[in-house]
Amino acid sequence: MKWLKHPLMPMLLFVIISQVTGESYPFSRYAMYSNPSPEPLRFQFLADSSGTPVPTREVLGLSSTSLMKMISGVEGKMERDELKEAKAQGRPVKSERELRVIAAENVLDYARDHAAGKKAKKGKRRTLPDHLLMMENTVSVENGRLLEKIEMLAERKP
Amino acid sequence: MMGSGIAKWIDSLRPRPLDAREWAAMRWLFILVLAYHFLDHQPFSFKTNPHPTGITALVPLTFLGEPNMYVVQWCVVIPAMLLYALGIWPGVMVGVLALVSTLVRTHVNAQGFNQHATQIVSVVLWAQCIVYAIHAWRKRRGLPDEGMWSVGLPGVLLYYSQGAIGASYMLAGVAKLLNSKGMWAWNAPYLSTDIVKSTRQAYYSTLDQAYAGVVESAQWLVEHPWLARAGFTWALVLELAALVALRNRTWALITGLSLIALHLGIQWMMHLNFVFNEALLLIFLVNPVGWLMLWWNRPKAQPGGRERPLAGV
Repeated sequence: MKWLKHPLMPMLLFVIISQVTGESYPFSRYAMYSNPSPEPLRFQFLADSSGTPVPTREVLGLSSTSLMKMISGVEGKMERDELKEAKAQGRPVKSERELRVIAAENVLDYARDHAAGKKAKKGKRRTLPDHLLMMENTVSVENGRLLEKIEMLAERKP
Repeated sequence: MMGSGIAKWIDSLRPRPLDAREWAAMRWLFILVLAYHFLDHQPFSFKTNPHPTGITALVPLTFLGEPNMYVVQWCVVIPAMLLYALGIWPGVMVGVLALVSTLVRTHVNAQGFNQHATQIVSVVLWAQCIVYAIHAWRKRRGLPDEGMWSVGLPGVLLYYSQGAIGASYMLAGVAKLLNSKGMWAWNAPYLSTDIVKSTRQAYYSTLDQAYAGVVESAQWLVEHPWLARAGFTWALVLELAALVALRNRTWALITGLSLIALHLGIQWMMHLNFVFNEALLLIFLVNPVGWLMLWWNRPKAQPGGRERPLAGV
């Protein structure tokens, strides 16, 4: 019982509360890079119709990582609901990739809305292309070498 | 015997007296970090809360996307920062700053991506706010300054500021242990794919060609798995044991410098920025102002002269 009154206890309580609340600012589990795995790692980026990356900081004021996190957030939520929804609608369960495509389309729409709501800065400034692609880069380790494979995940035409 | 020695050592992690001038210097340095934190325009560009999180699950914060809210924010935080630094109603002012910081950043996280860069700033603000509130409550109740309060308010404020920082690192270490089922350090060579990811994301954000080529640090990890494991084990230990900074000034210095070195290493490898963490580690753990004051007040060989040691050593 003496330990419960130790000045350190609030810090340990903070650690426990953060584990319970998860990502609920200012609480967080800080789970980034917490589970390195041999599985290939996928991440997404914004591109124009030719597949050339679009600098998201310049055109949206957002990092490419933010868009990627949005896709995994939407995908995660859909994954949690998918089984129940598929059963209710009497359809087959969508694959992980199908869900990721929907999430990516969702984020492409968000990017367009966000770009439309942003004030254009003075001077030369690139704008979001009308024909937008969400590309996916898959990084893996094979035979001691790092490999990257890039393919299209989703698109939004003008 | 060893167990009781460790228990004794942990028990020694208690607040220590701190010179009020040293705490005042920390407050002034802290408001520089806060000003940089509030400079960010990005949160005010978001008009909606499409993915409610934290307080936005209860109250939408879309009003922060209204025109001129950036200016309104500054109208609130400038007087709050100055009064806090001057020590005028610091408890109330730090509460205002904690609230603004939390609302603005929750609004960002409600876009569907969690940003952690400024989290540590908000946590330190809330920690100080709680200490001020408990201190005021004790004063109102007429409770004596006993236990940890006997060291004085500045000592308790520094202790919990350092504690908030240390606990944040401990949290990151605990997450690594839990999510990897204790295998984080063993699997550390696989962080090579994360390094490629963060490098490429830096490229896709800016199209800076420096991030477009071969990622040598990632390839190095793949080729040297045992060195990677050794290095990352040390990083994990540092995070889990960050609260040792509470031991005394020297432990705080060593912990602070080690964590800054860790951040610089990650920054070099992964192109991730930890400016707020580094600034807070510098102010509250490394504490160069405190060391300077200690040096200034060092015992001087003056016959008959009295030394005035700085508290909290």
